[in-house]
Amino acid sequence: MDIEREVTLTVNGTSYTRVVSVRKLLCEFLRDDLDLTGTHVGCEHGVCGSCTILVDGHTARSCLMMAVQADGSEITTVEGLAKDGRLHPIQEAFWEEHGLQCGFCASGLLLTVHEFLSDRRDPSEQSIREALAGNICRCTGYQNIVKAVAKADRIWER
Amino acid sequence: MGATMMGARVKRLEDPRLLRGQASFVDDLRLPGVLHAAILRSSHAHARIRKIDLSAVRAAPGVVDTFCLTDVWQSPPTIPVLVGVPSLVPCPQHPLAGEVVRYVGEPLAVVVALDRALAEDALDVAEVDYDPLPGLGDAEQALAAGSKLLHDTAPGNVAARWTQGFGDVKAAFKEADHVVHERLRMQRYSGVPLETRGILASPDSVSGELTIWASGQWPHTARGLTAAALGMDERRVRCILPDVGGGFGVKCDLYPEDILIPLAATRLNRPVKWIEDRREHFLSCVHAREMTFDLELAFKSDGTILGMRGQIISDQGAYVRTLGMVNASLAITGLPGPYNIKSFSAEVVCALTNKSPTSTYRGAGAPEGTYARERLLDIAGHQIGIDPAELRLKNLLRPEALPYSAKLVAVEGPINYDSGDFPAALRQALKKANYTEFRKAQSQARSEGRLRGVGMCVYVQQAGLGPFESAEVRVDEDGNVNVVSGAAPQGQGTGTMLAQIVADQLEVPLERVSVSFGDTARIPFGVGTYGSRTVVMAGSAALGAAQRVREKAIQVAAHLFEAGPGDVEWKDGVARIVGVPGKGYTLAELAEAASPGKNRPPGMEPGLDARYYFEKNQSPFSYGVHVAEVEVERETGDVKVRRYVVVNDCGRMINPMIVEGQIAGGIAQGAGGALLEELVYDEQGQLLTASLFDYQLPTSLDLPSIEISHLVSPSDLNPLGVKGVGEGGAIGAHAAVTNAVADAIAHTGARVCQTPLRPAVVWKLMNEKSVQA
Amino acid sequence: MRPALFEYAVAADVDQAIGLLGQFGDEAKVLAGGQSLVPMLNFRLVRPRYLIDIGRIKGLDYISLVDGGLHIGALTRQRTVERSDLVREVCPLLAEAIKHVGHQQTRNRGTVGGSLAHADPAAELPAVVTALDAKLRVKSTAGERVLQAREFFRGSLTTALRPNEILVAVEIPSWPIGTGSGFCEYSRRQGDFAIVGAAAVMQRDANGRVARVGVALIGTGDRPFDATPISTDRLIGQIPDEANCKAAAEEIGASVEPDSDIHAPADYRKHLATVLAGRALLCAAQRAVIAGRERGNGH
Repeated sequence: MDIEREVTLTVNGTSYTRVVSVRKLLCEFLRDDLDLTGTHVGCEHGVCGSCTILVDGHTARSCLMMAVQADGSEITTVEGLAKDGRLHPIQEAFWEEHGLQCGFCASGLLLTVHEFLSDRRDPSEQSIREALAGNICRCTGYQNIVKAVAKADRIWER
Repeated sequence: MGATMMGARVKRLEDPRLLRGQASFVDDLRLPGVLHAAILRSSHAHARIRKIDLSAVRAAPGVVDTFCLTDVWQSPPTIPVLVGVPSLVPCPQHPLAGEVVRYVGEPLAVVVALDRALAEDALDVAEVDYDPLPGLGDAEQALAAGSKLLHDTAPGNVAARWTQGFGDVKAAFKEADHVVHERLRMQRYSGVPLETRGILASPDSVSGELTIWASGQWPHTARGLTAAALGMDERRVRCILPDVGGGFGVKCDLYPEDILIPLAATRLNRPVKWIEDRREHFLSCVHAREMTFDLELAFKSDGTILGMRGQIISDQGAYVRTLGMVNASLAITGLPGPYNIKSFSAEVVCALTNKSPTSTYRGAGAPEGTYARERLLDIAGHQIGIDPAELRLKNLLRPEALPYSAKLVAVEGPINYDSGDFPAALRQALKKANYTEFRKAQSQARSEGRLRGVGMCVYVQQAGLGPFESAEVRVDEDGNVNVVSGAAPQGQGTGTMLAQIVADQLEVPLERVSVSFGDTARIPFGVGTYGSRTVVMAGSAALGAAQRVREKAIQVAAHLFEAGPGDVEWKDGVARIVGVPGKGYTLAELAEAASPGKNRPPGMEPGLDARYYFEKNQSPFSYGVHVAEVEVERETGDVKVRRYVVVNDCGRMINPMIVEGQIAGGIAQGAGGALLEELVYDEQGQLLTASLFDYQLPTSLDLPSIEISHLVSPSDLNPLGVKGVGEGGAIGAHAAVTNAVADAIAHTGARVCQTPLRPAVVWKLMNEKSVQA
Repeated sequence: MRPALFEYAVAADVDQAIGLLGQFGDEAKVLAGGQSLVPMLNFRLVRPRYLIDIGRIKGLDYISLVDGGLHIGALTRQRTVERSDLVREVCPLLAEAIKHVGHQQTRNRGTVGGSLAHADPAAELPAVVTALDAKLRVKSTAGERVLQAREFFRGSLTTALRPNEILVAVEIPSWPIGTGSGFCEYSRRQGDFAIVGAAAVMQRDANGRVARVGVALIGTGDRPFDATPISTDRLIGQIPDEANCKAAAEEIGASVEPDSDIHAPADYRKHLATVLAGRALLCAAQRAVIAGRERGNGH
């Protein structure tokens, strides 16, 4: 039985090895230990979706994972979306469509959208809204986010 | 003037760094040696505190400091009331509870530890000896004779009580052909921004200054209040607004933690950070909206309103802090709204209860008053037999009547509608919503067992709260323009909006303008961002500063040209002699020339910059019409909002895309209030909705896309002709959606008088009385 | 909100897991996907002294066709079930219900076994396995036990699992050709726990009469309401139609005894039980016919 463990994981393509408290949440680890503060913590009980990241290619709520559970995983956070300084097409689409206001929910949303669009084309408005239902935004009322997703679908070559 | 940026739907300057995850919300800020605080909070709603024993806390692993009230203060400071009313009795809160706690969540002690988890472990071993007292769970109970007093200073548990009115209401009701009366209730709910509150306080041992970063809305005001509470010189305290993840009015107020965390930092001479968790947020961030309206309208037989009267009971929670009186004031003065009401009398009673203190949330009384009036108008239409749209058109103020004094004064100033055309907006909205056709479709649907309904709301809102706002515009020697504003935004795109104004004035590309906010060290006076004030106050301040910079630039250019200022024209960011193309001076060159020791006109202050304060105590009023269409499922009571039409008039718009974003976001919150959101306390004063499982926020599936069109009635009250808009969506939507649901189930005889209209509630309403219409 | 202190171990395999539980079970919690447990840890609603992570165990992530039924390993992610053609074909009730479990982000990590062992009265999977008359296989150092679903769920967040046991598989029996299913849930927002839900499976014989039926309700008590006896009574041997499905549903609604809470009062839950059970039964009945026709030789 341990109270600390060593974890090794890849985040946005870079490998990290750290010793962590076993009760440290993955979101805390990313933010505090790796200084990747783009992932935000809105509720600590897995409802708001602000902390959404990709774990081994699929979205997960980083407030619902212990850091030790991520040992051996490949993680993508919002900081991993832009390449060579250029915004990802999803980010571009959000910018063009005014899909964010305060920006607190945006990081989690971008990764949710990334997963959603990765394996489909030309989604209907209804299916977009269903895909977004696990991410809360308190500022926008969602409609520009929906537009941003539709635009991202069009401009993202994948 | 260039005027290419005004009215332009430009992409926001704020977005790239937000999208990249490079924002700096308060919890993202890193300081070496920072310690983490947690707050010990009362688990009782009302109790005498016999003892707080922190000895085990002190000894807990990783704990650096802990204190309760008596450890710090002989005479504890009180959180002052900034906006008062004459009848207000003192019922203030201390930063920590002393002998009595009055709401679950009230702070009892502070723990500072090496990390948050250790601080929470330490809280677990605190020992508090409570002597429970009878709790007051609702306003009616609190006001009932013989109820336990929450504050010795507040007889009858009344924090404040007053009457406002005009005209002869008695006569109006005497001569009325119809009197419509209803008791309407709006529930307790609140803004619930996605980022909770948070404070990082750091003493600087070199300068002796204390720097405070807080997820707030008014750093200049917070600075003054915090310094006063700590007995510090205000000039030694610097408040900086980081990125803020939503405010909605709930991050104003001076909270206990605003005093406690800086205090903890000064005690230890170390930086201390406190991030509110979501449960704490529900317990102790300001609550809002909870009011009961006992309201009557007097009508002539043709539907003309003769008078309105009633009583409002406002649930203030346990204490009145800085802005606690605003909601009651805006609710009572907001009752008549945009209607030609010749006589009016209402009383508001602010009751103290064992709940978290209430204060401002988006609309701050306007949603409440609007809901009560608009609901009553629909009820009246039903009773009298006049279509609700017709009833409104009959009674709305005509455009010729404006500017119109509503003959009421709110805490924030007199209610004067400066410009607008309410009937035109309503007609346009009804047309857009296909209102007449809808009635036919509704009838058809009803015969097929589908319950469709339409509801409307016409509202006005204060849209440019004074007393002033500040701006500084400075051009550097690269020709870049830096704007510093006293505004303190939480996502409203203020940076882009101000940049548009300044870029226009100086005729430079938008990308050359950068804007910073909310830092008491960068600009000495400021007010902040709340109450839909920003475009009017911060915008006009930025305009004034930019105009002065432009004038200064022309004067410097004239000096360099050895000509008179009248011979110089300014175009596309370059000063030239009128009629002489070719050589001109760029902003960069003029800034260089204006710097000390270079080449500026004698007597001119160095620097191509200007600071300007826009001072105004009269607020413009913007308005809107919302028409919502819903469908109710008979068997479950489920409500879907199918269509939503808005005609909005906030005068000239700097960036219509940002304006529409504010409207859509506000509507989501108002619809959430109508259908989903509620802060529920049980009889013991325990909050049952302290998580996002239980407090239900609207999701992407809860709203359709909002169809927004604009009317433009400029305001004379500021040089931009603009009016604010931020709160409007929330004001209109709660009423419009409620009316739509009531309309959908009207044929069952259901009496819709309270919200939220959750499925079980709607189902019960439909089945209580299945009466043929 | 951070978890209270605990000690942590990773079980490399089932034997190690049950060994650790044998030693520490009374003060331990098992961590699989974490979607239900971690929020409770964060709120300090649970404060286990030990946390045993079974998420690395190989061999408990499978969906197999066994004698016409489905055996699903406890650590199978909900996402895997969601995307499984085998599940869609062999157990359409499960395929339909899984979409209602939380959100994509939670289904990506949450496990079938985790949801069942957590036993939230408002969760979908406990009712689904009850309706299907599934068995749950649990293991400890003393050996394996197999429990019927209806005896597995004992109360709110309470199952028949002993402190030293883990759930290793759920075994859904064969519901053969001709079986139809219906899953009807009402929640205020997509992804919420159900206010009330109904899961129904119905097998019809060559004459279209009900040969076998399984029904369970969500959100009407502290555990799934086993409505199979009532439905069996009412419908076996009948040609199912609107009237008799409604009658069965009314008896089900009359029989449930839900509590009131802030999400819904008891009488509303009873009403929904009737409505949703009726819809689920009728849906299962209609689909059973379709399935029978599709697979039959002529008719």
